[in-house]
Amino acid sequence: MPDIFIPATKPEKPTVAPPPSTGRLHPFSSYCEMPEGVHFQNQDADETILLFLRRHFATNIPWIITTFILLLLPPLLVPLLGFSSFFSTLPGSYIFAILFFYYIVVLTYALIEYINWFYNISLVTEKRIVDIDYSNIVFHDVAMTKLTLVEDVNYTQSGFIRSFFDFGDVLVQTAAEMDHFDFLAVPKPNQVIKIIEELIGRRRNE
Amino acid sequence: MIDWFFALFQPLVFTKLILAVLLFLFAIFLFVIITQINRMNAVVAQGTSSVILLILASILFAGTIFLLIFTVIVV
Repeated sequence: MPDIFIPATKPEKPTVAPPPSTGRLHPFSSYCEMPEGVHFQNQDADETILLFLRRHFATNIPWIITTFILLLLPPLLVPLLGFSSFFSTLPGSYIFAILFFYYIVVLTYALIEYINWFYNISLVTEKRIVDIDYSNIVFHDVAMTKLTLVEDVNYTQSGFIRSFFDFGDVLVQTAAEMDHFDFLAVPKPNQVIKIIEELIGRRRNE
Repeated sequence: MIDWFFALFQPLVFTKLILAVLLFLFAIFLFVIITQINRMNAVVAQGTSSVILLILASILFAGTIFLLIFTVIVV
C-alpha cells in the first residue's frame, strides 16, 4: 500500500568530517589536524584548532644543504689555509677561538632559518583563520579573519618538486579589510581547501 | 703613557680585541633572538617544540659567553 503521508525530513547540516584522532606536533610538523598543545593569543576558551599548517619541510632543504657545506668547510680548508702566512702566526688557542666562533655563527644561521620556518604558521579554527608571519627576527604579523567573511578558497600547485612532495599555495579570499590570506607551500593543499570549504558551508548554513 | 695604545696594534692583541668585540656583539644578537623566541611563544605556543627551540638558542648564547670569557682571559 503506498504511503499517503511521509514526514518531511530535516535537511542535514553539512558537517566537517572529524579527523580520526588528534595530532601530535613534533618540531618538524608542517601539517596537523586537531593539534595537541597549540594555543594562540586571543584564542577563545571554546575554540578548537582544526588545522595547523606550515610551509612543507622540503622548502628547508636549501638552507640545510648550505649549513652542511659551511660546517664541512673548515676541515676542507685547513690543509690550504692552515699553513698560510696569517694562520701560521697565530697560537693554537687563537685558532680554537676563531673556529669555535665560526661554528657558533653557522649554527646561529641555521637556527634563524629554522625559526623563520617554525613561526610562519597558519591556523584554521572552527571560528576563524589565523595567519602568523614571522621574518627578519624582529618582524611578526598576525592576521585573523572570521570564517563568515571567507568568500572563496583555492590553491595552486605547479612544478615537479611541488607535485612530488604534494604541497602548494592556498589562497583564501575574504570580504574583510585584508582581502586575502596566503598559505604558501603548505602540504596537502586539496585537503586544506576541502576542510575550509566544509567549514564555510557549515557556517553559512547555521 | 700611551704605550698600551700602540700595544693594541700588535697582531695578536689586535686579533684578540677584534674577536672579543665581535663575540660581544654576537652575544647581544643572540640575546635579541632569545627574547623574540619568547615573544613568539606568547603569540603561539606549540608545546614542547617551543621549549626545545628556546633551549637551543640558550645553548648558543651560553657558548658565545663562554668563548667571550675564554678569549678575554685565556687567549
